[in-house]
Amino acid sequence: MILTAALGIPLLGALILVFRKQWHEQSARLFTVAVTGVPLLLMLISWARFDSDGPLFQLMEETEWVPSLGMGFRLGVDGVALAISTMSALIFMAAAAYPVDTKGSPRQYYAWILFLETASLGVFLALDLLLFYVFFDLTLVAMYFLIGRWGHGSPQYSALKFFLYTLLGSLFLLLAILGLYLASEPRTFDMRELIAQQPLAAAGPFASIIMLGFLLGFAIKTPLIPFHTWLPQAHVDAPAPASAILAGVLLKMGTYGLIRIPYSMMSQTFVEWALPLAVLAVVSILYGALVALGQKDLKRRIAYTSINHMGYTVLAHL
Amino acid sequence: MFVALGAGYPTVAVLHFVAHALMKAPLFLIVGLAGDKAASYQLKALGKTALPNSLKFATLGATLALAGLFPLGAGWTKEAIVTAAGHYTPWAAVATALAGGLSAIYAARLLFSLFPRFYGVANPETAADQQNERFQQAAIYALVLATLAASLMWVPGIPQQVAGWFDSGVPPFKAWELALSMMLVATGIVLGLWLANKNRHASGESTLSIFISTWMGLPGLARLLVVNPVLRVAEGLAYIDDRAVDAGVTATARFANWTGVMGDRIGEWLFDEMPEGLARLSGRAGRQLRQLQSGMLHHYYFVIAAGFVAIIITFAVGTLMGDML
Repeated sequence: MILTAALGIPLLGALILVFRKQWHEQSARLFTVAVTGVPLLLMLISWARFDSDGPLFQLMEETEWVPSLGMGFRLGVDGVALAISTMSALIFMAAAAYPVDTKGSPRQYYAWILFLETASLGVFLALDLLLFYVFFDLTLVAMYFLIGRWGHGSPQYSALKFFLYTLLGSLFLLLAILGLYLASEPRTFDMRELIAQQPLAAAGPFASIIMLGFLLGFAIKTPLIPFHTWLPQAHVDAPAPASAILAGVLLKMGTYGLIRIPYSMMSQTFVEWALPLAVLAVVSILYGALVALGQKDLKRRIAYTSINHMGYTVLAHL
Repeated sequence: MFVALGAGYPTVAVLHFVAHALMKAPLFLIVGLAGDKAASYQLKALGKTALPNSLKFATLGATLALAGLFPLGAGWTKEAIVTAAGHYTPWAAVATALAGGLSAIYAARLLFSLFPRFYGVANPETAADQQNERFQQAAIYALVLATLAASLMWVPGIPQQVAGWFDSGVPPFKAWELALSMMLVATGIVLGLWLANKNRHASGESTLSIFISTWMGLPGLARLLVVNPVLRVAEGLAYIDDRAVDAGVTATARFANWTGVMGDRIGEWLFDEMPEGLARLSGRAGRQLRQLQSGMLHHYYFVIAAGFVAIIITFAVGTLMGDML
């Protein structure tokens, strides 16, 4: 129940914030910081319970949802997920504590932060492909509102550009997920079974198309050149804590997805695509660094250094 | 330190690393204290400033360690590095010893620039200054004492013990290397003293010294060959990124906008015109039909008669067609 609690408690916190109309800035912030402390604590406990000599995925929590379609509510961790979710929980706590101009709507702001935390942790803890996808897209919704309502500059433009661009990537991701699902025998969305099955191992061109879908989706999210142009705008116009979450948590979903899905479930095809991906990563590294150097706005500069660093992360996969 | 690592003596590198830290830290603190008092870090200004008398000996300890003089710890590590380099080739040992000699020159120059009347009259300092600086001085003395404690490295067995912790060895000193190195250090100290005196009495900076002290124009060259071109490329790429790379996205957005506007103008008109047009036609038909209600009896009789004729014709045609089939 520990992982479900890590997801459920921030969501509950968000709902409480929505309904407690009498809370102002200070109380809302304190409440949020306290609530974000809980998933962090739970992740640390999970870390302590994790057996590094044990099976790949541990602390499993699953419930069948639509058994005939192989859909289920499945949560679990491996080393990567554990590290990344603990780090994310810490970032959320820091972001919640950071004082920000909530423009007269503090409860709503903090409620969105907590909702975003649920969605983000859900991405990292999900062991069902469809659940992964749902949480992946929910993060976009939360971030859209955080940027659009509490941002500065041209926040609505930036929020919309961010949302539509990354949603386009999600569309490719969904199609690829469905392709992978349809190739599995028996049909399942369970990540552990897909990793064991390697459904598209000998599928030739079809596997390449599915891989392209995954790579496009994750390349837009990571982001890799040339699908990166949503990031600088979003970073500059977002409020500082939302920028921190965008850089520290949301961008990681792209590379995490790369490890969790194509790298693990389509290993053979991944090897074939390794070189082009490596080239793209190196281009991102160099281009990101150079364009960062050429920026005059500091937040834009940091945004481009994110692109540079995500290039390193992707290169490390290969 | 890298010479020691490259020669395969990591212990020596680590010990040098420690000795270096212990003597460099107080040097920085001393220069910081002096620089604060002089409001400048120029050697001439520092030399003219009244520094605490007690600091003289702390500076002496630190600078002699910098020079690598026996029996200070940094001296042992420097000799060990010379010996380590000598394992590769004797010329490497000579080169390292020469480098050590150069270190001695600048160490001595620093000492005698800070304290030009080292061997002369003590520098006066106010009691208030001494009170304010007691923590700074305490830190400096502590570090210099630690530097002096590092002289234990000269005690036979101690470096070997440390090497044991790292599973490696310590090179045994060679007499000629030791002699050469120490001679170069001694020469360096004398040269440093001479340079310090010369600098103190000189009226301005010579062109040569300016050239050397500004890294022989290398920063300017680096700026010309590397920094400026890279910055130009970076700015160009930033420009392209904003315009060209994002152009596809912006164009897509503009196209989407255009389809929206077209949809709103033409599409909506078309889709709306179907029910609207049908409604208009129905209305017109209704109005036309209403005209039949003229209220005049003879019009109604005419319509009834016309209708009756139409029925008869329909039946007649139907019967005829039925007969034919």
